[in-house]
Amino acid sequence: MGKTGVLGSFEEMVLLAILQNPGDAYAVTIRRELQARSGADVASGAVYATLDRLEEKGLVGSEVEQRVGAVGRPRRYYDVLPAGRTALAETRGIREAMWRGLTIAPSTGLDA
Amino acid sequence: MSGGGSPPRLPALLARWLLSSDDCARLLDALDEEYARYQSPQRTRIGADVWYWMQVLRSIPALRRPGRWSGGPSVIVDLLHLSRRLRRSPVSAAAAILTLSVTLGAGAAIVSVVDAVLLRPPPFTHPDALVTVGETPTDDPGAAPRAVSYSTFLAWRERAGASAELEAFDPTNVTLTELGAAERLSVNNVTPGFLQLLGVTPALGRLFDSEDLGQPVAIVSTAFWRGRLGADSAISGRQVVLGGQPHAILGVLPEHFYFALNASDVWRPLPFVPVEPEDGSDPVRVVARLDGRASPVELARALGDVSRVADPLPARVRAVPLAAAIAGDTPRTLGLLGAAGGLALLIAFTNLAVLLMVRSIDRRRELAVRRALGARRSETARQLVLESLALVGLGIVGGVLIAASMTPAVGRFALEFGGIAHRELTVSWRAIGVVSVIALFCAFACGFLPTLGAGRWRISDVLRQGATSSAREISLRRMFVGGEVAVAFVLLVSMSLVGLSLLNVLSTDPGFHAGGVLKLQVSLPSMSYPTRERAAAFFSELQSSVGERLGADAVSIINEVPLSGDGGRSLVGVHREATDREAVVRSAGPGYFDVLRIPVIAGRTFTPADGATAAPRAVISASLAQGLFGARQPVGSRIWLAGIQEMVEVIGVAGDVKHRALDEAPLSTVYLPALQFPSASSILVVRSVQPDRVVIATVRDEVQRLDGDLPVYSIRSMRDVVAASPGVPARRLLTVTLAGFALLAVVLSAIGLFGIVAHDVARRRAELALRIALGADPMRILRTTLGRGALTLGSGLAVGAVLAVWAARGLSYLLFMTGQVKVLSIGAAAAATLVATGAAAVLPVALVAARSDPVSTLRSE
Repeated sequence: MGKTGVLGSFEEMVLLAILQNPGDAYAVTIRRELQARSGADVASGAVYATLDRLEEKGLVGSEVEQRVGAVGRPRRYYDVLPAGRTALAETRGIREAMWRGLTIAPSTGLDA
Repeated sequence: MSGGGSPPRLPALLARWLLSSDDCARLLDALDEEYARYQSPQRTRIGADVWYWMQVLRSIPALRRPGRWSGGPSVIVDLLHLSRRLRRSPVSAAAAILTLSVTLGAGAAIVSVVDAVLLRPPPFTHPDALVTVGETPTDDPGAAPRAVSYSTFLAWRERAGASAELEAFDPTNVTLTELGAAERLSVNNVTPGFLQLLGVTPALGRLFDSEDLGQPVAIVSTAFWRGRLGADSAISGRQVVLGGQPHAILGVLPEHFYFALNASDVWRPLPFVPVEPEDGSDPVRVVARLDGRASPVELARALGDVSRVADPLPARVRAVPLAAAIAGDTPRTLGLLGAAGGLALLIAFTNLAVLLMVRSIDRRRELAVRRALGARRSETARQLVLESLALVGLGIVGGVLIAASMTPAVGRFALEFGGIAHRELTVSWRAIGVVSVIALFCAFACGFLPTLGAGRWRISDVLRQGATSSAREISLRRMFVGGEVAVAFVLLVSMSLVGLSLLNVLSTDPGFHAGGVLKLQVSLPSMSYPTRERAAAFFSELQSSVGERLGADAVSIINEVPLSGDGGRSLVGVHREATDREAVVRSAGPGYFDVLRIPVIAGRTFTPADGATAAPRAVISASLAQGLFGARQPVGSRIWLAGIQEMVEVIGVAGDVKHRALDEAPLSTVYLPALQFPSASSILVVRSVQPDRVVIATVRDEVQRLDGDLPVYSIRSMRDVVAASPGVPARRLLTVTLAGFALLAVVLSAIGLFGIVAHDVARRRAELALRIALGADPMRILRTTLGRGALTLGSGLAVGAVLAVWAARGLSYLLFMTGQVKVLSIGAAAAATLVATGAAAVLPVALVAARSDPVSTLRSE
């Protein structure tokens, strides 16, 4: 598709999950957010792979920190960059445009 | 159980092996943190461990991406991908695995039975040099070789000279007493060198030698030695009482020894010393070991010199290899069973091939993308092959489990329904090996071949058109499904033909009425009942005392019931010089014909007055009356019976009964009064409304009262005798087996047809929608769609019809009273069944295609 910023659905969900946990978004909390909101038991590896990809695209940034009271190794905390926010907004716009004028009643299919 | 445990180590090791250290570290960190929280009061330790495992297994494929370092063999990762893919389309994967397991398992079980009975040699030394030798009448040379008189055996021995060693055996029954309750045992009386001829060495003691002839000695089996003699190692001092006479035990046979022609636990030397061999002695069966230079045919010809000039009836000699004699009639039936099993496997592999092809086609898009992203052809090939192999591998595992559990059941089934016995029936690993190799080859071919075309795909084409099949693949699939239809047709027709024959055989009139009649056998030892009079008195007393309790017209005596064979034949004629026909001779008590409801056509039957003091008399069968007397009244005439060397008066004519098999003509019969010509081993036939256990208990009671040492044995209902008579069990076995496979084949071909048409419709959705939008008649669309399915079905039926003719020829020995008209109607019915099932499978898809809304379809393209 033409525009550069359109996200895949899982990428979008990961970005939203990061935004839902401002300041505390690392792999575990992101995964838990996804599980809580979508109901699916997401694989941690998939989350990591997506975060790497988003970072490569310049949509998220990350920092390793050892916070007070945290157990184990220093964690990598993620944050959505401006490019990521733009991509989210664009993606949302396209989705809403596609949905406009439609209502879906469950189990009976489309009513135009 | 709540937290506090540490996560399982194995998944961590796996991750370390297959991921880079960075990826591994962060993954395990995240999982360990969640693991601690995952163990809550509500979750068990096992649940947490399972979650941990699943997380690792699913994360590994996600983290191994092009451009990142990946260690460990990629096959493992491919398997993880595979398990994810299978979980995403579980239904089709499960269907493939299940179909494969069931057909592989059933096919392997059947092949195991065939292997065990037909292909494994008997447990003797050099078994291919052993033959059974017997006489056949000159007018029926194809008959089974019969036992011969002892004098004939001696003459044969002399004639055979050095070209073959001949020994003889006489299978008989004897009563064992003083070792628990009296029991009737099967015994082999043998010439002294018999066991040595088979190549047996005793496990304990020794075998017979020439001085044991006529002596009361015995050799027993390991089972008998363990079960009755307590595995006593001091065997030479022990005795067993057989037929009222103590026999010293000389030795014990090895455990693996099994004589299939007449399995028995006790062996004795032939009881008479043959200084003057008597003609009236029991016939013996002969086994010969060829010396390598003579063939069975040559031996038979040489021995035929003796038999050809024999008096009174010249005979031919037939030598049959021992393995074939043991197998008897079963090779043909088992061959058919094996063919049915083979067809089942064919169906399974065809379905597998179709299924794998479809899966590989569906994955084409993904594969094209991967190729475009740089994946090598070997990688994609490897994944496809791995997927096929995994499916087949799981199917084989399931199949092995099913075969291992089914083989004993199939063996029992074959025994009960088909009378096919074999002692040790375990799953044949050879069979499973062969089947597995074929399945794996099929998997490799069906997984790999589609990738050969992968290089030529252009990614843009694939992405635009979606998953499509090449024309070659489509016709290949059609061919496979057409093949399934053909196989289904053949099985349906075969099942119907054999089933119809079975019904015809069962509805033939055996000449008597079997319902409600029990038979029970009692044998009198010659030691306690040395004279005819004593035997006759015993049975007469037994019949009347049982009759008092169960009803006087409910009981009678006979020495052999109908449908038990044609033993006890004699020459018969209107006078001594004119004996040119054979009849089966039976010894019947008063009331016999009433108990079995055999019609009396003329004269009368036996009464208690037809006893030892009366003149010899007989009742003859209608066919014998016709043959001897034509239109004349036979009652009052006399006939010569060579077996008793006497003239007897015909006092009545009874209806014919079948002695050998239901599908054979009845044999001429002469009935003698049991009170005049008693048989030491006789059968009580009882027709009573009382339940069987009451009848059995009553008879046992009365026998016990008359003579405590006599067992009542071989207790069966006459209905069972009819059902087990030659020709019935084999047909029953095959009908049931063929029905099972036919059902499987019909279902699978219906699924196959459905698959083809559905795929077709999906492929041409855009085209169909366009047509409808341009005004095409939906009914035409429907007809066209159905037409493609019908073409496959039709060609399958055509091929099937040709194959069915072939199959019918293979079945011809089982067919009974199935005329041409019936065959044609069976064929029509089978075709109709397949058409109906095919239509049911295809119609829903075709309707959907005809009704599809063109606009929405075109939009989505």
